[in-house]
Amino acid sequence: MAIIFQNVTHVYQADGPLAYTGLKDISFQIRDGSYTAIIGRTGSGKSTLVQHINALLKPTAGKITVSDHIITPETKNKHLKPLRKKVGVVFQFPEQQLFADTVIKDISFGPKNFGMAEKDAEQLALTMLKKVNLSSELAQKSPFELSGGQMRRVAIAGVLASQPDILILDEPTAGLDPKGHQELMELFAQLNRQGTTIILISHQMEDVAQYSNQVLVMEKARLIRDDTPQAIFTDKTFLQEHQLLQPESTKFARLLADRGFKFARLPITTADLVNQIVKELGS
Amino acid sequence: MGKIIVGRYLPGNSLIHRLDPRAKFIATFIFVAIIFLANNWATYLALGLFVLWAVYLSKVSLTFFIKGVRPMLFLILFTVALQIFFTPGGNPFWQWGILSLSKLSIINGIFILLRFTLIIFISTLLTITTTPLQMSDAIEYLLRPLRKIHFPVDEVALMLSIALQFIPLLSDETTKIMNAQRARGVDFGEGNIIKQIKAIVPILIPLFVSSFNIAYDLSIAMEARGYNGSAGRTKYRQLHWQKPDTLVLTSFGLLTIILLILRSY
Repeated sequence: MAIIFQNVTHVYQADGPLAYTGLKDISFQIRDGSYTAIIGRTGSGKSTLVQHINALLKPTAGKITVSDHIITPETKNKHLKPLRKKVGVVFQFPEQQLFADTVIKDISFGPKNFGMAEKDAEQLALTMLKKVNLSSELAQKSPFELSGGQMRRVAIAGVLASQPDILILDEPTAGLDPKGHQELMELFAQLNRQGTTIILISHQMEDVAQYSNQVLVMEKARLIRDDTPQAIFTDKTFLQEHQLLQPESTKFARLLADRGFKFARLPITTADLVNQIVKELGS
Repeated sequence: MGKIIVGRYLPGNSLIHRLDPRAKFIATFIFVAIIFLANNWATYLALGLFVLWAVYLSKVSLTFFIKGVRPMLFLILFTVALQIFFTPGGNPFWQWGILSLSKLSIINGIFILLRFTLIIFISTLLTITTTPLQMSDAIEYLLRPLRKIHFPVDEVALMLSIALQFIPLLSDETTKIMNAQRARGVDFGEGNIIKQIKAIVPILIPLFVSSFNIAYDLSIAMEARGYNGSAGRTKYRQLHWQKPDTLVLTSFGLLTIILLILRSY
């Protein structure tokens, strides 16, 4: 499921006096099964970018290839279902999309839309419920009786139920407690290990450093860097110039390095930091 | 949804943008009333020139207004067609059953077309140059006399200003929810009518739920900040009636007189 953007530009309300550019001449590639993070300040075009991958928005110029689908400005709204089945999107605050009278109906809504039989879809929904760490007793409850965190999980289960090959996560854990955050991030990492391509929009540099293997940095509708997390988070001048934060581990390591501690490479995750310190002290 | 421009505000700093919203509001009402005075070419010409002059003063491009008429074109043409084909009398040069065409009916049709267009132009001009907040301030002021009959003017004004402020928010939310459901495989605007109505449920329910949540949060936030009813409040935004505002109303008075004179020719 490689994703290729070629000179993609998107202009909102292109023919009106209120036109503004959401994306400017963006090109990059995402390999099959990669875990790509998109970072950048609010309003830099991250959400606009990901909505192109399943053609919720279409480019005003340029070309997007998502496995065997090609999206151009001329792409019609018909025949997009196969693409939408392949690309699952967890929007910001996905709990706002719940609507059915029971949890199980809401989760099986996606698969049913993509043509799965009702019985199979509900069976699948039960599996998904377990996968997001919710008890199956909730299945027959109304989604509106649940707590905020549970609603979020149900909504995510509803997206996962369509079994997408590409999963787009737009700040999926914003507003969750640390435990919920951890659990969900682990779930996504596990899906990634099983072959799902993951695209994560996040302001949490720790998550980006820990999970991703490719980072796209957006600024003012442009893609300003496409690199590994290691290269980006250890590039101090770049981070400062573009007002991006670095992971706490890198910050700490830098303080140690300033006082003469030697690192083979600056760590970007806690695990790496601990490993390197242990190794250095042990020798 | 993005195509409808009536009711949208376009920031600017023209003479019309700076007018007192009350003046613009009253003027729009006067215009809609006096348009019915027009009954011949001369009167429509006067009205048309007046509207074009107002559009020119607002510094908003005319094409923008023309685009605003487009979504309603079908309704307008339908009405015009009815008017043209079903006006009896006036020496018809073509007739088929109750349908007839005559010079009189065609002229009448054109007048209706002009009337629609002018009303849409002038009301678009009002909403394009006035922020929703100014609009609700103006309505509150103009409703004031109704206090005498114990009409809850302040409450209505509060409701109105809250409603107006939440329109963009709810419309963003609608787009967001539609996109989320689309990503889950819903097709909007496809299939037969029952299928299409069913496709709306997954948007409507989340929208209602989120409106309830917003209402709940907002009311708590208002109470926490000391709101306890409209009585005895002061106003932060004050309206100032100035010379240009009087001039605008005078020009509408003049227009009315001109129409009354032209009408009798």
